[in-house]
Parts: sequence; C-alpha cells; structure tokens
Amino acid sequence: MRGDDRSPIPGGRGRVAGPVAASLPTLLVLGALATLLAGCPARPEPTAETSPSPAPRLPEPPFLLPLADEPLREPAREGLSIGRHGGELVLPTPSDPKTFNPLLADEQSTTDVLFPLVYTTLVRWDPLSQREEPELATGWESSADGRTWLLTLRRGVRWSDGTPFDADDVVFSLQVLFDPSVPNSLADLFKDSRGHLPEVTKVDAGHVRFTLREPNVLFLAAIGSVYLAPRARLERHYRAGRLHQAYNVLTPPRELVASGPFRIKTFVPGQRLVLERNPYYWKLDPAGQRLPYLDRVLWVMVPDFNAALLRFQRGEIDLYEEVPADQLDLLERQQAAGGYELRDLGPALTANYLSFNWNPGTTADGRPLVDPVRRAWFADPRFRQAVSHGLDREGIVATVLLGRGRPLYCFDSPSNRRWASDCPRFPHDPGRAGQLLDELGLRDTDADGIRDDGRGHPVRFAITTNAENRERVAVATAIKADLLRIGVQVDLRVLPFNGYVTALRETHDWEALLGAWGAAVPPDPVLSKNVFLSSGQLHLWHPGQTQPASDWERRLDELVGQLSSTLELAARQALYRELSEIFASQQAQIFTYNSNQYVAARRGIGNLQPTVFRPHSYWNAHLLYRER
Amino acid sequence: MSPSVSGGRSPAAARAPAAGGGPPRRLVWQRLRRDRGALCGGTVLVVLLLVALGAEFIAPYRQDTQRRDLAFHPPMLRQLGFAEGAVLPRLAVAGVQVVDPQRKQYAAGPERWPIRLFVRGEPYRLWGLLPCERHLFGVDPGGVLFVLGSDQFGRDLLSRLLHATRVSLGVALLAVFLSLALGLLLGGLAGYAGGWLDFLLMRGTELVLALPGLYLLLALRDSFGRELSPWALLGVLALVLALVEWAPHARVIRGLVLALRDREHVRAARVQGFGPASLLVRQILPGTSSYVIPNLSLSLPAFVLNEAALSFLGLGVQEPQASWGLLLRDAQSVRFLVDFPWLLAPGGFLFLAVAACNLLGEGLRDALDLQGVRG
Amino acid sequence: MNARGLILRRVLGLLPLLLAVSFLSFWLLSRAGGDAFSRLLADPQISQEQVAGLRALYGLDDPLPTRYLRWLSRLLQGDLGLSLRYQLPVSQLIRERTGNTLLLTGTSLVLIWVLGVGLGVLAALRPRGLLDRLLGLLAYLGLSTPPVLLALLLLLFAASTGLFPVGGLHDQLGWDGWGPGARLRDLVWHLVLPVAVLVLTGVGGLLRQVRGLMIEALGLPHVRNARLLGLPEGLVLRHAGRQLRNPLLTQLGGSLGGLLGGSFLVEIVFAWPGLASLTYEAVLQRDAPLLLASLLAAAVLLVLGNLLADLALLGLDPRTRHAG
Repeated sequence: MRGDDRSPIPGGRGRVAGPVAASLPTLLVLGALATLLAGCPARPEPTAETSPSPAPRLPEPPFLLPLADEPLREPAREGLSIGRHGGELVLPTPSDPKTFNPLLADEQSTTDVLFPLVYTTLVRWDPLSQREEPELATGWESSADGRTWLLTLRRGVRWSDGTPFDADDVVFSLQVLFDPSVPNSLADLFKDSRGHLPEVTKVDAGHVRFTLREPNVLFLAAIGSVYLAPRARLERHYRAGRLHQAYNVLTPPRELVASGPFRIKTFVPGQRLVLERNPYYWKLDPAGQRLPYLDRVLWVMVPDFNAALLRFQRGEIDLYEEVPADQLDLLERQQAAGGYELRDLGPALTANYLSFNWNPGTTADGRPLVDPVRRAWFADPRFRQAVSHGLDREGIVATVLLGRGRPLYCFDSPSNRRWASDCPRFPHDPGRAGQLLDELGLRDTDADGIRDDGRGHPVRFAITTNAENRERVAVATAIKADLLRIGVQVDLRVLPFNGYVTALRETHDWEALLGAWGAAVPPDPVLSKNVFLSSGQLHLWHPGQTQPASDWERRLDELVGQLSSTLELAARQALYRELSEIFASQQAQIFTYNSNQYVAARRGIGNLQPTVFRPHSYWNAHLLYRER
Repeated sequence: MSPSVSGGRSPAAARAPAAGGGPPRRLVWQRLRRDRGALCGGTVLVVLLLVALGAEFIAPYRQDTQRRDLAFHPPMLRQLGFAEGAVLPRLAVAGVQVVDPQRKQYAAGPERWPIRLFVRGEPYRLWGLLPCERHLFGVDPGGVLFVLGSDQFGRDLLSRLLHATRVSLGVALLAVFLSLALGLLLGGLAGYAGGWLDFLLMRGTELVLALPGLYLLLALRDSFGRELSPWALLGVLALVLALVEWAPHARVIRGLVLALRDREHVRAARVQGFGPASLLVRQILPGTSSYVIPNLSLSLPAFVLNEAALSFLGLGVQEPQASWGLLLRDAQSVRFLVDFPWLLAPGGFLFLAVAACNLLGEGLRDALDLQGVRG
Repeated sequence: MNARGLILRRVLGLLPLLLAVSFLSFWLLSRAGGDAFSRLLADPQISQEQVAGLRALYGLDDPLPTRYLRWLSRLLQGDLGLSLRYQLPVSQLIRERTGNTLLLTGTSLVLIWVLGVGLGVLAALRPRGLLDRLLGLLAYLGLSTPPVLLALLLLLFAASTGLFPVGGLHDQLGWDGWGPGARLRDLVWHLVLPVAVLVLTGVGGLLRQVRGLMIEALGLPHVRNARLLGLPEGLVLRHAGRQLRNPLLTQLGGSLGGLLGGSFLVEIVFAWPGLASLTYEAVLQRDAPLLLASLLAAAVLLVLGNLLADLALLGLDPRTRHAG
C-alpha cells in the first residue's frame, strides 16, 4: 500500500482513513447517480437514506488478517501498473449459477462467475505467457520417466474463513473427481490410454505426489483445470452421499469459503451475485501491497442481449464480454461519447464448421441414420471439397458477421499461434465445385436447376442447426443460397437446442450440421483428440468406430497417439502439421468462418489485459483496479 | 389478463352471446353494410388475403433472393423520380451506389430505372404450380427496387413481407378453423350428450385452460415436429396454436348447446325421429353461429401474436420462409432497430390485420345479435 | 348451492385437475427430446459417460411412469422435489420468484382493470364519438403490438433518455444499503416500464369488451327509459353497470389465473427476476420438478381465481344461488 492510504485502524472497525480513499466508493455511487439523475426527477435519491455506516473503506480490517507465509508476489512486467484499492466492477451474466461447489460446476453460467474469481487451482495456465504458472503450488517436478509428479504447495495459505489450506484439500478434491459415482469431465483429462487414473498421495501437509502408469503430456494442464474445494466444509457431505446438495446456491454465504481473490457475499437469485474481497488472499502486487485491489465484483443477471447492451451503454455494466456481432458497429460508433472502449482481441478461438455425416449405423428401429444414396456422396472427399468450393465464405462474413471476422479453412483459429498452421484450402470457386460434382456423376439431367445422379435422386440434403443461435441460422440461410448456385439444394433443419445436441451427440441422425469447436485451455490438439480419433465421440462424421474405416483415419489415430506421448514441442508441432493437413485435404469437416473476439470495457479500469482466451477480461481480476 | 401470451383467451373470445339461430341473413347483411368499421375491416382483410394469394406475382422478387452487397438498404422512396418515357415521363428509381459496405451506407447513382408493370423478372411458380416470370411491377434486371428496404442478406423486405402475409394469415386462419372446429366438436358433444362425457370433456377443457399458454405452446412445439418440411411445419404450427386456444371456445359452445338442446325446434325434430348426430349438426350447431362467425375474425389476432412469440424464441416459422413474427424478430436487435428502422414495417401489416379482424369481428357480432342493434 | 358446497366441490375438483396437469406436463416434457443433462453435451469436453452417470444418479433412465410415480409420492408427502439442475428444493427456488412475478402481474392487472373498465365505460357513453374512436384506435394499437417489441422499444427509450432503468427489479448497486423509503421508490421506478408494456398490450381487449357490454346495457329498455325520464346520468350508469357485473366478475376470476404465466417474454426482456426465466430455463433444461411446480401453481391460481369470482357472484347476485 502506498503512502498515507496506509493507516490501519486498531480495534478492527475501520472508519475514515485517507480522505480520498474514504470517499471514493461513495463518489463512485454519486457519480453514477449524477448521470442518472440528470434527466430524472422520479429517481429516488438513495444518498438521503443511505445507512449511517459508510461503505467499506481502506485500509480496513481484512488487511490486518494474516498473509500467507509464502505469498505470491506478482513480478513487475510491462503493462502491469501498481493499482489502488477500492471500487467495484459490474459484469453481466445471462443466467444464474447452478451451484457454488467448484467440483460440480459444469456449465458456463456457473464456471464463468466462479472461476477464477472465487476458486483457484494449483497451477494456472497464463494467457499472456501461454504456459503454466505457479498458483497454489509453488513448484512441480516430474521424474525422468514422467510417471511421478511431486507438487509443492504454497505455505501458509488460508481459505477465506481463515482455516489453512493444505495437501488434504488437494487430495480430497481429486478423490471426489476420481470417484466414478461423481460424474464429471475433469477425470477424463487424467485418464491414460487404458483409462487408468493416477494415484494421489499426501506426502506431507505441503506436498502431494501423483503416480501415473503412463506419462501424460497434459498432466499440468489437467492439474490446472481442477478448482480446489475446501475439504473441511465438504468432506462430511461427501461421505454422507450428499455432495450434490452441498454448497448449493442457497447455502448461506458465510459457509462458502474461497481460495480466489474474492469470496461470495450475497446471492439474490435472478438478480445479482455479489463477490467481496477475500481478506486472506495470498497474492501481493509488485509493490508488495495486498491484493485484490477491488472491493467488490458484482455479477448482474441480464438474460437478454439487448438489455445487456443498453445497460452497458448506460454505464451500469463495466465489462461486456462476448459482444454479439450485430451490436459492434453501434458500440464502436459511440465509444468516445459513451466513456468506454471496444477492444478487438483478434480472431476468436472458436472454429465454425459445416460437417457431413457418413455414419453407416442404423437407428434404434433399424433404419439407416443417413439415406444410403446421400451417404455415398458425403463419404466421397470430392463431394465435400466441392461443397467447400461452393461456399462464399467472404460473403458469409460480410453478411452474417457484418464484416467482423474472416474465412476459415483449417481446424485451428489463427489465434492459436502455437498450433495453427496453413492447410490445404478449397476456397470459393463455383466452377471448380461444378467440375468436381460432374466428376462424381452429379449433373442436372432434368434441367430443374438441381443436380441429380441420373437415377432420380436430386442432390439435396438438410443442414441441421439450432433455433436459438441466430448467427448459425443466418449462416445456414446463406449457405443454402450459395449451394443453390452450384446446383445443390439445401433444406434447413432448425431444431431446438436440446434436439440439436441430442442429434449431434447421441442419436447421430443428421445429414449435415453447423457447429463450432471452442478451444480448450490450454489449446492443445490432444485436448481435441475426441474429434480426431476414429473411436472418439466427437469424430462427428462417424463416431465410435471400433476399427478405423479408412486409411487416413487410421493415420489420424496414429498421429494422435504420438502427439500424446511425445514431449518435445517442435516434434509435436510437426506431428500436428501432418494431422491438420490430412484433416483439411479430406475436408473431414468443412471450416467456414472465424469471428473476431471483442470486449467492451468502461474507461478507467487499470491493468485490463483482455485476451482471446476465456475468461477474456477478468482472468487477472485480482490486479484490476479503478483508476481515479 | 395474461396480455403477452394468451391474447386468444381475450375477452372477445370468452364472451358468450345469447343462444339462438340469429337474425335472418338479409338483416345481417343490412346491418353489416351500415357498419363502416366492419366494412373497412372486411375490405382490408380481403386485400390482405388477395395479397397473400398472389404474393409471388405481386412481389417484385422472390422471398429468398439475396443481394449480399446491398444489405440493409433503406427504403427507396427517396430515390423515386421520373425518367424520360416515350410519351410521358414515367416513375423510376435511381441506381444504387455503395458508399460504405461496412456501415451499410448507400447513395443514389446517376442512372434511372423505370418502374414497369407486368415486368419480366425472376421466374417463379405461382402456388408452386404454374411457372411464371411476370411480376406485377418491378425494374428491369440490372436495377434494384427495394420499396421497403432490404434485410441483412439484401433480400427485398417488401417481397418477404408479401410472402410473410401468406404464411402468417395462412397459419392463423388454419389455426382459427382448427380451434373453432375442436371447440364446436368437443363443446357440442359435451353440451348435447351431458353426463359423464360432458364431465370428462369439461375437465379436459379446464386442464388446457389451467396450463399457461406459452409454456404449453413451447412444450407442444418442442414435442411435435422436430423433423418437418417447411410446409408441414406450418401445419404443425397451426395445430399447436389451435391446441392451445380451443378450450375457451369449447366452454362457450357447450353453454350455448346446453341452452339450445331444449329449444322447441330441437324437441320437435327429436320427436320426428332425427338421430342425435343429425340433430346436433342440423338443429343445434347452427344456433351457435352468432358466436362462431364473429370469432372466426376476433380470435385471429391472438394466433398471429402467438406465432410472433414463438418466432421470438426461434421456434416458429423457419428461414428462409418468412412470417410477420419472424420478420419482426430482426427488428428485435437494438442495433438494427436504431440503424435500420424500416425493419419495423412488418409491424404495420400486423397492426392492419389485427385492427381489421377486430373491426370486422365486432361488426359481425353486432350484426348477428338478435337483441337489437348496438351503438 | 351455498358457498361451502361450492368451495368443497371446487377443491375436490382441483385434485384430479392437478393430477392431470402434472401428468400431461411430465409426458410432454419427456416427449420433447433430451433431458436435464443433454444440454451438457454441447460442451465437447463433457463425455457421454459423464452424462450417463448423471442420468443414472438422478434416475432419469427409469421409464416415465416410474419417474412420475416417484415424483407423485414425494408430492403426497408435501415435497415438490429437487430441481435437477440446482439440486435444491423446488419450493425454495420458486418462492421469491413467484412473489416478484405476482408483483409485476398483479400491479398490471389492477391497472388494466381500472383503465379498461373506466375507459370502456367512457367510450360507451358516446359510441362513435371522438373519444370512442381514439380509444378504439389505441386499443387496437395495443392489441396488435407484440409485447416483446414494445418492451424493447421502451427499453431503448429508457436507455436514451435515462428516465427509467434498463430492466431489473431494483438497483443492484445501492439496494442493500438503502432504507425502506428509498427501496420503495426504486422498486416503483423499476416497475413502470414492464407494467406499461403489460398494461398497454393487455388493456385493449378489456376496454373493447366493457365498451360493448356497456353499450348493450345502455340499450336495455329499462335503462333507456331511465335515461329518457331524465334520471341523473350517475344513476343511469349504475343501473347499466349492474349488467356488467356478472360477466366481468367471471372474467376477472379467469384473469387471475394468468397471473403467473402472462408476463413471460416481458420478464425476459426486462431481466425481471420472476418465475418466467426460471420456468423457461426449466423447459429448456427439461427440469421436470421445477417446471411442474410452477405449472401447478398456475393451475391452483386459476381455480382459486374462478372460485373467488363464483363466490363473489354468489354473494352479490341472489339468482345464481338458485340456478346452481
């Protein structure tokens, strides 16, 4: 803490410290009000009735609480400035979190608000350096054979209720995640090729050892996705088989303990989730001040995108991530007047695709999943290449994304710098598309504008997409118009979201489908192995094969196997280059476009360093501060 | 109340007229002719129906022709002018120049495209059958005519709106018929048969009434028709809308039938040995006409609005087909609303249709009322 | 029939109705495809095994009748069950939401009825007069505006003028620190726009109906005579108004039933923390216990509304007492 702002008040109940620091929260509220009051006589004046006890000021009692014995001091680096304490940040979220239990959080509405604000991990994948950094673990070492990992925990860290954090918490959290009766996706990251999980042992309070049967390239990444839970609070619920009811959204906040920079203060369903500073947080800024800077982080439930935009423009929201494409022009135009800025983070990590289905399987009642005539077309790479040549990707970007994106031809977004490589392209070329279709014997024999196979089967298929995603429906509409130009008729099959997901993942009854791959963090190809492996569930065109159906799929399997067991980066990159080349030249999936990622942020938020990785703007929430 | 959802359980629908055969047809017609509101409403409806019927011909373009380079072009009213004609100057529109494709800014070019009647344009099939290529009006290929502006894909909004009129009115009318038919059938049966059948049917009616309209609509829409061709989808939509809205009709009709059952002409017919079916069809149900006929018109708006609500959630009519609700969905983005306000044009059609239906319906109700002329 | 008999009969009738409502909803929900956990599969990191595990954990892989009976037997013990997605007692989840929704729809209902009846009578006094035409136009305008669109336009208005808040139930920043006076004002201020949407789109129908009934009543012989005899207008109106009482009371009862479901899309657009967003999510997520609870609440409310209307009729109008 700097200068005269530092004046701890004995006795615990802080009153006014420095004049500036003292009045800042009030000023913020007043400032917001002044703008609101300008045109509004009806607006109540809360200041008149504000309760006598002033808003929390700095320095305040939390800072008298003990710091960890071995705090993490953020190294000074470019772009990182020393902030000031106080203030708050308001963010929108479309729906309520479903649980406050970090081990059970499985959807965005939950993970977005909790991670990494309230809970944290042993190691952290840093979006700037793009590698693992120490978090609750200060170090890690693996044995020469890569089968034993020893993690050293940070000493003297406390949960937000003051109880110590130690190896028991780590062992407990992993024990729960590895328990087959607790369905979760994290355990999969730890499984080796035969499905075995590592053995976790507490060496002493400060060390945990993992014993693996095979080396795992992504072991640290897996460790980095486990948000730890407090054993002392959850173990008895777990033993009693009530884990799924423990730490639910109505649990009184004082029972919820945090390891991240903030803890839960209040949750009002459907309205707001208020996070306040975790007084035991164990990080310091480069100047040695306690972190986080912010007093509070407020999540406000705003289910409608339009309402979110309007609230942001009115100054009621500070950070607005994932801005829909149609709002960008408006935001950009008004950023000077609105006191905010729209930051272009570059190509999003999401890769949008059009996929065909040539799964030879049958439905439960014995009908083929895909009409055999059409299946034969879909299975031919020339057909898929022709469709790719038929797509006017530039036109789609200009129309649907209003120019905010670029055509995409490969599996990886250009933002995935470590792994994205150039791949064979099949760009917009209706003439070439026509040639390829002619080669396949698909010509318009009856002069109705639609090609056919000469045996009465018009070249026609349905693109499945989901109704809630307007962008995707618009893309489907554009593709329909594009392919009509090469004599291919497309029907749109717009399903409700549940139906779409069920068709995609469970029933596999679709002909063509629009979807997107989001990037895992870290964006390593092995984390996408379920797409590449012929036995994978996400091998969309024919998932769960017992034997690879084709040579190129067999080669993909081999490459994934080598990628998983090779440790050296350059070698892995070479392997992956071959993989993505096969993937693209086969047009296993036809990639379509890649939109730009934007974050809109109010001016005056210090240390904001948004990246394309989720969460984009508040991954370093402990360092964010409100400038004067 | 339930304003946003079940407008169909609107007061107008719930209101029961006195049971009776209604006044003679000539009197009805006389009364109707004196009711200017009803006449206006009727005229507007007839025009809309004609538009719906001839959408392909009246529209200058097909509903799915995309001009992606001309997305969000404003209505071309300002570009209207005159061009030199052989005898007289004729109406023409200026050509389009793209100023800023990103910001969607356009200017009028120097050339003039005369607007022609019965112009040769994009080929289409009238009612899906007759191949044609003449359009009521339009400009020669090379020029563009966006009377009401264009949408995100550069599709002509007017053309889409005309096609949407067919879809929206078609679905709504079908739903009206279905819901009234269900109401007549079930309400008539319940009222006439009485006893346990009446009891069962009325409990069924209460059941439907007890479920909030939109949730029922959502659940029904979700469970029917996940896999449908566009036209079948429209049928299913109509069916789903009707399944949500038949119950109030059944209730009123049951009441009417209950009263009619013991009327003298019905008793007389029964004595003459008419069977129950023919009694019901010939003697009793005609007595409900003073309720049914006005409601053909009065309950239509609710269906149009419910379809719009489904479209808001993306579960209504699907692209590239158009309906009023689906077109208005585009106007439900703040950005589009601010920058491209012509996307609200479908709202105008919606308003016209709703007002016309109500005016005509109220007029019909008054005209069919035995108890004297109102107002 | 007396009041006690009426109440008894209705309450007895309610039970099978609730049974039927619940079974129908259960069935529709199961027909709709997918279950509470299929959405998770949208995330490529989540495996089919995980979802299968969750299904087994919550008994979703049992056949429909088993699940329904299990739910029913819990209900008979007074337990609405656990929400599948929240793992919380449904009753806890919906309590506060129901209050918020009732606040919104109740306020709108009162305004709709005050305005609808008042303006309807006014319009009827001079049919086809200037006021009547104007009100007619406004009524049609309201009737034909999709509530979502109106809601959005009002939000835009709120955002550009700053006169009203952009959605929400109350100020998220200041609320916790305010006294009751400031809270009340804040609440009213937030209520204005969503209520305006519901009233503007909902009042037209009632207004037209009251107008029609009133014109009819004013045309009745004894009312016309009273008018011709030069009785004061107020007295004439009271005579005529008596004709409106029964149909309107019946309808008021009916509209009470719409209190829980009527503001659906408006709640979504205005970020109103009511039952709508919760129930909508429940539909999307196939969270049967959660959905059923709000549907049952709606059904109970409907029956109660009708019962109240009938009781009022019974008390006010001696004829109905013998007719039943």
